[in-house]
Amino acid sequence: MDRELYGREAVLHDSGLVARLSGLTRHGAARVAYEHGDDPPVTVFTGGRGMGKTALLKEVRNRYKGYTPLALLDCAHVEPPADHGPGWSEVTGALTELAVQLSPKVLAAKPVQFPRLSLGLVAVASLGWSQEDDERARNDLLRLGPLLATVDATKGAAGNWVAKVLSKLAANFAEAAAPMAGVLAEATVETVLEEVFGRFQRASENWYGSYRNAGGRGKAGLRQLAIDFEQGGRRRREAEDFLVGALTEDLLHAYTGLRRGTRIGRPVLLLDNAHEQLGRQLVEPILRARADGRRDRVVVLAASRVREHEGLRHATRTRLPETAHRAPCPRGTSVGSGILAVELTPLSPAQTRAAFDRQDPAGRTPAELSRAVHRLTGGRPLGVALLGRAAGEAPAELRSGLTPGGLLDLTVELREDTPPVPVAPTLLAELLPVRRPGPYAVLAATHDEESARVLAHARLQGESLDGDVALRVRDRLRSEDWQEGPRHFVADPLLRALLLHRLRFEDADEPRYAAWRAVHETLHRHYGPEPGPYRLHHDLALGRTEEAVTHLRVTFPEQDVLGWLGRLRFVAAAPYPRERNRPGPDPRRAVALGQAPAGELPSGLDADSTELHLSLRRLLHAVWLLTDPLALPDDDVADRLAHELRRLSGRHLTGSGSLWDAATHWPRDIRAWRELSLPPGREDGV
Amino acid sequence: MPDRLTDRLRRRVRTPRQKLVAALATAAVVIGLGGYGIARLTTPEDRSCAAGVDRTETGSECVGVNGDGYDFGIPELTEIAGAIGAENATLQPGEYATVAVLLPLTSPDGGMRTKVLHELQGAYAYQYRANHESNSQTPKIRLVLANTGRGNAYWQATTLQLTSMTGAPDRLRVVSGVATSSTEMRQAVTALTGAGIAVVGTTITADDIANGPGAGNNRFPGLARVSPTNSDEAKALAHYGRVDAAKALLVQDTRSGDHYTDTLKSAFAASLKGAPYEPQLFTSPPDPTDEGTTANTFRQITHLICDTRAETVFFAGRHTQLRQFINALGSRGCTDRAFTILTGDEGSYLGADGKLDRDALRTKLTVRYASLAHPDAWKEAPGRRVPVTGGSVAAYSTFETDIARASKKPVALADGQAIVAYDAMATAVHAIRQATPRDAQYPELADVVTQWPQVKGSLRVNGASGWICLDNHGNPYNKAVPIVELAPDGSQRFVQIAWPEKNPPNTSCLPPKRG
Repeated sequence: MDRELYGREAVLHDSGLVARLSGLTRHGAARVAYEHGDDPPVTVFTGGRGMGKTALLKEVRNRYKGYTPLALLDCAHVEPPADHGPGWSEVTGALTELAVQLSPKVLAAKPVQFPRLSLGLVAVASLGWSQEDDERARNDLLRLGPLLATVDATKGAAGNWVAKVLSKLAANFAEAAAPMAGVLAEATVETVLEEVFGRFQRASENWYGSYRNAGGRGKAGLRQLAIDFEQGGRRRREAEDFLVGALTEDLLHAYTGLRRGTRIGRPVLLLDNAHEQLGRQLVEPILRARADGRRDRVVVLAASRVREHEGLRHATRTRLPETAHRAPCPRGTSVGSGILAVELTPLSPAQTRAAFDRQDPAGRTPAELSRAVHRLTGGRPLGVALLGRAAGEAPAELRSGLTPGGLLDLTVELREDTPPVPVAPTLLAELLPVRRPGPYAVLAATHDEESARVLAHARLQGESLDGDVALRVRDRLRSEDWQEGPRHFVADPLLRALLLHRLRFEDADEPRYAAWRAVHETLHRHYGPEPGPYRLHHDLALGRTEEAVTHLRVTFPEQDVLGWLGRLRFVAAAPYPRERNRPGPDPRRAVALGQAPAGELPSGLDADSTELHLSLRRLLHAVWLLTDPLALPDDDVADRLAHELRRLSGRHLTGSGSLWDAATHWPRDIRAWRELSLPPGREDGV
Repeated sequence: MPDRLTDRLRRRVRTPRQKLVAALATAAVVIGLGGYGIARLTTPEDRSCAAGVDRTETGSECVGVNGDGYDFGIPELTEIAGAIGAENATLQPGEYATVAVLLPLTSPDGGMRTKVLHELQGAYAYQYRANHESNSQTPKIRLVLANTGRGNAYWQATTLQLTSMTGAPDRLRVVSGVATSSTEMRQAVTALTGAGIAVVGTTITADDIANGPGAGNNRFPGLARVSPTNSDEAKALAHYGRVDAAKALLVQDTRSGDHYTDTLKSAFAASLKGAPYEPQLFTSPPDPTDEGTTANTFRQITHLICDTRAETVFFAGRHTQLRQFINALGSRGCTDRAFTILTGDEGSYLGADGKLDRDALRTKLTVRYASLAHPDAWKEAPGRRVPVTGGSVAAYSTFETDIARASKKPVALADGQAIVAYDAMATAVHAIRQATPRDAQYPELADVVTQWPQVKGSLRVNGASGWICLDNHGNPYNKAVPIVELAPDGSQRFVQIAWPEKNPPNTSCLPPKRG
């Protein structure tokens, strides 16, 4: 059963990008014309954490596995085997893994054999064996068993050859006092050739004749390969690149010569986290060979978290929806032009809605919830999927009153065999897999580098031993392609909301919220003593609104109405000091609608000022509620917002136009799930 | 459902190579089946049984000419046909002339089968002698079997085939066999002789398959016979019996068209001039081997015979009717009176006839007939004197040596068929070799036909059944006629040799001028 991936049809559809690259529709049902002829580009899907790169690659694997040779490798997690000799590197490990995955029999075609790669890896593995330590040699050889089994299933798997190789080695040790790496490699290769390889496969050795200094002799090439590998540095890179070439050569041989016409489609290599060094090392030799005119027929699909990766500088860039029908990738002169970088796009509101409908088919959650989640997550597939799941699994009594913030408080059952996990920490761990997210949570409350450094200096003394915490956090976020914004240190609304959620609820010390209070008090103090917008912002975060209302009332008559509206918008963007699992409607709603008790007013106000004060209080709460990504907007409140603004426009002597426009456009912006526009009605919504 | 079917097919046949193989396999099957079907529909039915032999339209028998050892589907003939085929296989093209044995090989009648087998054995025996024990005379003789089918029904096709074989490599020169005296056979002989091929008849005795003196009687130019004509037989019988016409009675078949019966009738009638009783009549069915209703007629004739004073009954009819007549006589009322039945060579079939009431022969009833040949005729025996002329003991013993080669089992000679066939073959070979010029490998066709008048005097053929001296019409002159008696055990007991001219020919054996 295929998993439903929303908004990924451009890649997975029967005439989508993968089908046009591999030549097969899903499950190998039909053939598709190759779009790029015999020179398919290396396709790199870029996108930040939670954008669905891994899910996309896994889905490709699920749909094509068993129908064409396919391997999926996570370049960030190649586990080194225990006690490996110097003959193991990440690249050789990855190549073994890829070959073993690519080998099995697929529909209507025999297994792929990897004689060349096997020889190369055997030669390299023999490095560092010594006479005393034949246990290591045995382990190294046994590790190559699965790979040699692709050459000859019975002989390779039986392991008889291991004993043969070892005895031959022992003889070799006896002869030469100090065996050189190359000699050892040659002897090993010879034994393996005799014991495992069939008569016709022995010719594959000759492929190494094209290696540096080999002069056409395969054995010499293998010896030189082992020597280069041992030497390290640039030479090792060369040797490893040649081994990658061996992999593609073996794959190509399954499609040409006598086996021509025995397979349809192309083999698929899926490389997750290809922005890692290993990913580059695997892709680069392929790209170079292709730039030199080699046509290896391998479809490489890679995923890179880093959008502006240096390897992608010459890539043809496109966005996911644009690849649905054609994805041209003209080959230029540079090696990097063989890359097609496809940026994964966030989900659209409709796709978010579809995901929620799938989780909650009965529609018992609020109708606006999916749209609000889309505003919170920005359409990030991981967030949508997890929150949608949480909505689907929410207790029945909570469902009708769910808000995005409420979803974060819930737990969600990810697997049947593990207990439910809380949504917010899980999502945060996925999006920001750092060892200690504490500093990030603290700094999420700040607005820029300067305030972050101040806060770090005040609150994160212990963390600053190895450099400035704020800058470290900034660089980490940058390296993972998190966006940067003007008004918040952590610009992404979802990540910020999650970090602030952690800041407020991590210690579970309701109702004191010591960490939250401390952070916001520190910042409040930092921006004091004048009641500037930043200071008032943190006032709101601490639950104090009167100072902000007063400030707005005092500055209301000023000329700069747009500035006043901007301050209103910024102050009201403060995080709301939520209570966990608080039933009933949001308290701000009552205030905004004027239903709450008036509370105390600043002293010394005349009737007119009192009326303005109350009006501004309602307005502030309305804006605060409506722009809070964790809350559900409310039509009544939006109407009230328009009403208040319209009345204020009547009061103002000079700026009634701007206020009037705001009264007209801001409710529209709210209903269109946009940010409040300033000046009101601006198309780009800023 | 069809969708799922095509889907499954698509999964099985995915790669270009699989598609290619599947397409080739499908094409091969379609072309193979289609080609077979088309070939089956368009090619004519293969009615060939063997080289030169085709199945008839009714499909029951194989008709044609073959000398490669094909047995025409008759198991009894397998051995002799194989022997002939093997003998033929030793011959080199160009060194031989062919003699065909024209017989109804596939006749279902048991008597005819036996006759055919013996004829072939006799012919083969002489072929072997001619090729191996005749001082390397040329040409060698190839023997082919020509089947005219049941009742000689396919004489036309076979004859046509034979006439086409006169050129190389077959060089057919003589057709032997011609074993029955019937209309079809007469037409066949007419056709063959008309085509200039010499014919040697074996057991035809009918007078109208013979040439005779006078204009218009030379209807078969090139026909020679080794058996005496019916008239000669009848004359020999008459001489043997010295029959008192007053005590003789003629029983005859009224059905005309059977030349054996007709000649016998007229010969008997001629020798019974002045008999007191008119001939007793019966009518045989169109196929004389059918039982028919004639048994009733014979029962009535039996009553009439008892009323006469006749002692000798001349029977002019075929052997089926003869057997019925003997059976009827066996249960006659007047068993106290002895009767002797005299008849032509058809009596030789009685010995093998299981329906014959053998007890009838013990009731003072003696059946004697003119045999064509008998193994005891030219053998020394105590109390019997072998004539000095008209045949020889030496010739017969040579035959006995030769016939032993024809079969692993001893060949039954009592019916004389093998002897006659041997003699016919000897005559044919004699003519072929006489006609061969000194410097030629083989004779011209026309030269063989003209040989018959010279077979006389010292150029006679010393046959196993007696001297064969041909008159100018190709009929044997004063040929020995063994009179045999049917014993109750079915065997033929040799009685005595009779001569158409009353006495054996003299040493010169030259027919006198007639008319």
